[in-house]
Amino acid sequence: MPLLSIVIPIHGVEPYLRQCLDSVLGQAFTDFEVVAVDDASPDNCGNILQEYAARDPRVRVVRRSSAGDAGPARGAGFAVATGDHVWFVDGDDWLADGALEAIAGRLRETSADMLCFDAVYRAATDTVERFRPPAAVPEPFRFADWPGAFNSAKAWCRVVSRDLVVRAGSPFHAGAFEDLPFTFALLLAARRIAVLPRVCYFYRADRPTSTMNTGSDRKLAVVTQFSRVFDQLDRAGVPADDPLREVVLHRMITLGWSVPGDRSLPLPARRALLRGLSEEFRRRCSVHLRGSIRDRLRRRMVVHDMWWAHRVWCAGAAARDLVRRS
Amino acid sequence: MPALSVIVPVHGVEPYLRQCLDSVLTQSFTDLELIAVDDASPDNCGQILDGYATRDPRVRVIHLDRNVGQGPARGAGFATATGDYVWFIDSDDWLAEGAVAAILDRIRATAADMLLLDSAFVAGGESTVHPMQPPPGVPEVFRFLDWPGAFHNPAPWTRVVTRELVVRAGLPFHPGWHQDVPFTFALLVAAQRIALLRRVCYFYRTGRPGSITAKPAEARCRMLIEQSRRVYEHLDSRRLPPDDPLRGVATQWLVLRGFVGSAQPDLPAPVRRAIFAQFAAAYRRHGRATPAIGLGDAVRRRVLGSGSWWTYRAYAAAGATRRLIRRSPTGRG
Repeated sequence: MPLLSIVIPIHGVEPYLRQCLDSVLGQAFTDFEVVAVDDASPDNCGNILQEYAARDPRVRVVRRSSAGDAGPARGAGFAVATGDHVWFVDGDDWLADGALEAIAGRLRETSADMLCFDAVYRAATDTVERFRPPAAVPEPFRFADWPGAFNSAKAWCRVVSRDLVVRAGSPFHAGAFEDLPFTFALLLAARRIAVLPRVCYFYRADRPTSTMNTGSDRKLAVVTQFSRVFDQLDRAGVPADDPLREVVLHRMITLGWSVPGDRSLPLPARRALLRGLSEEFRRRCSVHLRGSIRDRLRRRMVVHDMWWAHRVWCAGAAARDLVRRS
Repeated sequence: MPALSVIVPVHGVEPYLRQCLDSVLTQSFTDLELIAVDDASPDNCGQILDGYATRDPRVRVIHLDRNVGQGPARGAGFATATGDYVWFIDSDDWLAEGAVAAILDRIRATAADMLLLDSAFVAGGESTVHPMQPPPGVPEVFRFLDWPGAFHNPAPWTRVVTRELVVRAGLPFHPGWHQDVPFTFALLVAAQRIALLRRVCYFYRTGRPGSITAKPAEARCRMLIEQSRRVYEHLDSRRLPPDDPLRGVATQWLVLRGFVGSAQPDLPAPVRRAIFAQFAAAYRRHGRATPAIGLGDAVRRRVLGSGSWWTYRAYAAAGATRRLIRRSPTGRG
């Protein structure tokens, strides 16, 4: 059994796939396997994977006949993965040099079941997303010690033990934004969360056709995914005024704010999204959200489905950006 | 989302595969999906599956590039499944006509999260029905402890379960032969509403060369014991106390398997003796502290726990004599 299984769901990432695989296979640390899941990729990815698998015995390929989503594809890869720990990497991103060695070392030091690290969002300019709990939180910690851990919700921004994924109920859901209920379930079940203060991952943030940037109805899935997160909170018996709920609400407001304002979406879809989020909100929340005046105003607009106020606010923000840029 | 996901791991079954797939896809009930996992099958199965997938949109195929075994292959299929219920079947077997409709009717009537099915074993042209026979007094919808016999054939195809139940049981897809033992045990422990469907839904092909049941007996026993260790680990992970009756049920099964394994008449005595010793050791390791389920179980535990082959032979001889007397015309009948 290798120490680490790197599970990569792959769909339509041909121009980026080699960079991704090379960044993994070229690591100095070698005790890992790659489980590449060809999720009915319409391009040449299947052949590229065959080529790598023929060259390197550490590469295993799972082919799915019907394109699904990253969630179920990760699930299929996870089912045949044999490593003690798993890292779910995306096929258009890449690892930092020496990342695996640093991760393996930190796992040994901490016996963590979840290890979080920093990532670079690569666009015209780089943004570094740092994972830093407040100094008062001793390491290793649990989710309840620092609910802010949920603010890095991407599937790739942590290495987790196999056993943790099973304990969390293998939460591989279909649909876009599937990483929200996935990450939340892992955080709830984690017993030893540790931090590696080092950039381990490069996220391609400016890819025109990545799922996060497609203006399709897929974005409506955000409502379903938040609903799943609330279900988890209820099942775990988290009380109504718990800080864990607060962090979910905050995240929901932030996304619930930005997604209906996404100008790549057609107007009716944006309208439907705000309504869906608003309904979900009223169904689930009695919690008073603290925060700045801006946050509270935004919350009011989402909760009460104030479509025109939301549009005016977005138009104002757009105008401000325009003035700033000129 | 379809009502049912039928999940079938496929490896080296080319002569039988079409019969299996056709029996699923020609069911009168059509709201199902068939998820076939090509577990690096060395024959033509991969192409056959792709052919079915292009013809019928309900078929989804997963190809694995190396053989992982039935347990992990089922796991890969399960990750892709979207049905409310799942049925794990074997690729050299087939479903009875109308089985799926009957299953879903029964599920609707009972709101079961696990439905046990009758099946027929087919060898050559002969088929033998193995009906489930719970003792009287078991309610229509029951739990595992009401009838531990629900475990006596642990093959996954003997039951249809909710997808959610598999998740609650911790996705117990383990590698190795006999992985269905910890799999089914975990499902039974988690199941809250078990019901029966008294109808032959499944035809099981026995005696196929290359099937797991055709492997050497001693190695199979070793594997079986290894898998029963996972059963106890699962119970430990659920923090059940040492005297929990579920542990007793696990031990009752292990002890019975020990007796069945040591009694195989086609094996030479030294092999049977080695098998007995293996089971005796496993019992002492895992089962000794667990509560016995009835008098027969208590006696068998004593015999196996002694670890003495001659005690076992005496017990077996006594049993054979008793059966002989019962069958003889002057016996009690």
